[in-house]
Amino acid sequence: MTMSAKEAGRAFPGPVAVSGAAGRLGHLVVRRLHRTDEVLALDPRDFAARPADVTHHMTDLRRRATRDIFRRGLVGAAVHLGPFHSAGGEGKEQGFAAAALSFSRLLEYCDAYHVKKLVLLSSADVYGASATNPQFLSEEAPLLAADLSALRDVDMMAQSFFWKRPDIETVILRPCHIVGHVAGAMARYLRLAPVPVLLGYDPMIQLLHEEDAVRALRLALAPGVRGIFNVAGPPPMPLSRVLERLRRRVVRVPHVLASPVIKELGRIGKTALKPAYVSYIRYVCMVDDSRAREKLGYAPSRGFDETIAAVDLWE
Amino acid sequence: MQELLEFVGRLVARGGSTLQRFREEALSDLDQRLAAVSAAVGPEGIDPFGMEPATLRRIAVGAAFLYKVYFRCETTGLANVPAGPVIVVANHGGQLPIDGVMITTALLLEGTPPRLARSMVDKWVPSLPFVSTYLSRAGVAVGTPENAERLLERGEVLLAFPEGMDAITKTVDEAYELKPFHSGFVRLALAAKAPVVPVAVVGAEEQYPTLYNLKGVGRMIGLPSLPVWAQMIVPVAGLLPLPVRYRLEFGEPMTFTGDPDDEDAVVDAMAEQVRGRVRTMVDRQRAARRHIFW
Repeated sequence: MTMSAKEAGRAFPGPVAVSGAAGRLGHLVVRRLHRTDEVLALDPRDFAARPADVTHHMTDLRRRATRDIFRRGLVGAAVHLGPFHSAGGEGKEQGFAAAALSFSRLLEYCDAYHVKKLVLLSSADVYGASATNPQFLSEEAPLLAADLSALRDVDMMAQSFFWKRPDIETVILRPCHIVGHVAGAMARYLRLAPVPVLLGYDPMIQLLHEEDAVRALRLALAPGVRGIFNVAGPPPMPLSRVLERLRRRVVRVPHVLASPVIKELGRIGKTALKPAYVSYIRYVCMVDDSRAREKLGYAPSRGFDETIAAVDLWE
Repeated sequence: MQELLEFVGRLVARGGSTLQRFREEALSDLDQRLAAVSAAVGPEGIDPFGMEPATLRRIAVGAAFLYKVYFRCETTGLANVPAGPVIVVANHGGQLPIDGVMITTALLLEGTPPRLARSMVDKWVPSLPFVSTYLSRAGVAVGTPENAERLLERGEVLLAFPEGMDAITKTVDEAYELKPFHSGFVRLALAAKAPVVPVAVVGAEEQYPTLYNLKGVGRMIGLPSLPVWAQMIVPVAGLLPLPVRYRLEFGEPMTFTGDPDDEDAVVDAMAEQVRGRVRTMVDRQRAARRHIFW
């Protein structure tokens, strides 16, 4: 593809830095964006599978080398894939703290070195699943994810950046559970064998195909777009229906046992899931994405069948 | 007691033929009626609030039995329910919300066209296993303003008992005394420009004639109320409500205009108007009934 053709279909006028590019979702984002935009991949992990025209800076956000990339004015827009969608990020409290620190650095670079746009891929998990939730949460709903405080912190840091630098177009995307090659908590939960469910509970859940998450992200890069947007996939379904469709074997666990069991399994290193996630298979935590549909022109391109089938894309 | 025994005897004698008639009459067009209220359900057979026609059908059969046979509900004024979004507001009583089930069943079985009334439950209900799932499949939503607004936006019938929990736990000496109305339903009606249909329920107050409510003891063991009702002296069967005859009257729709965020005084006055209507209809229905059982 020539440079001029690239310019015509661009999401953003200027190079786009993607942090967390070497992750599973990062791969998809980079592959989608490099077709139209100039992409800088930021990730301390190896990223051998990157497209040839993508520059990979093998560096942590907290390192001086990353600051230099921004200082040289190489970055027009920054996309942060956040700690929510990687397997390592959720495991330990230190991982969480590191995630928040990394993001604060990124905000610092955006502030200092003329970045025009910042897109954070947050998560609808930040609203928290609870008995008192309305069926669909709007972007104004309070962030009550009690035990996932670092997820909330990162989201809230981006929110305070709105008033700190009103001239920078900041976008927070809060997608529902992304499924596909990704390693989010729900995606990993749905791949368990057998899948533990809570006896007597069957909340409605929303799944989002990874390609649709990437589409929303690209739409968020469009000049002029700013604000917070929930992102959902096809209409919601009860958890039991999803598991039936996936032909999963199910173990029913009384909810009073679920948290202690997960805690124990975590302690002996058998699971990376946190006890806090139990509430997400007990109560609804679904989002109203009408703002994204209206302001971003977003609509999911994948239906039920394709979205559910994507759960098994992970190898 | 004598009356009750006689009644039960008669009921048993007629039991067979009644059940037969129930099957023929009540269930004959149930599937068509369910199909009509499920029209908006997506291709996966479940609506965004979790309502599933298949589960709803199972519940509807039981509810229809209660409506037609057990409580022999007499319903008038269903033609007053307009098309589109509407809030149905009724008096509340009887320890268990059977009044809500009767109103919902009336709208489903006898409404023209049939409507599915959406009830809203207290915010602690989703934390109950099984109950939460079942209610959600039957189209019941959690009582948040957001849910109410969304349901009205979808053009649904919202069922509200603005007297709240206080009313359902009343003892016999307070029967049919209407407690003050919470005015939330008026604000919803104003915001959604939805008419309010007042409904009088007569019968509910006698299903569990409650002599005393051990609220203090109940609270100690984590229950909102602990009623002591008359038939409790009969083991097991005493848990059932008395087979009183229910009478429902749907009144003419009331339309309100104004600012949904207006001061309490303004909105409370509108709620009071609705309460007045419900009270008038309750008095009329009580005067019209010959006996609590028939």
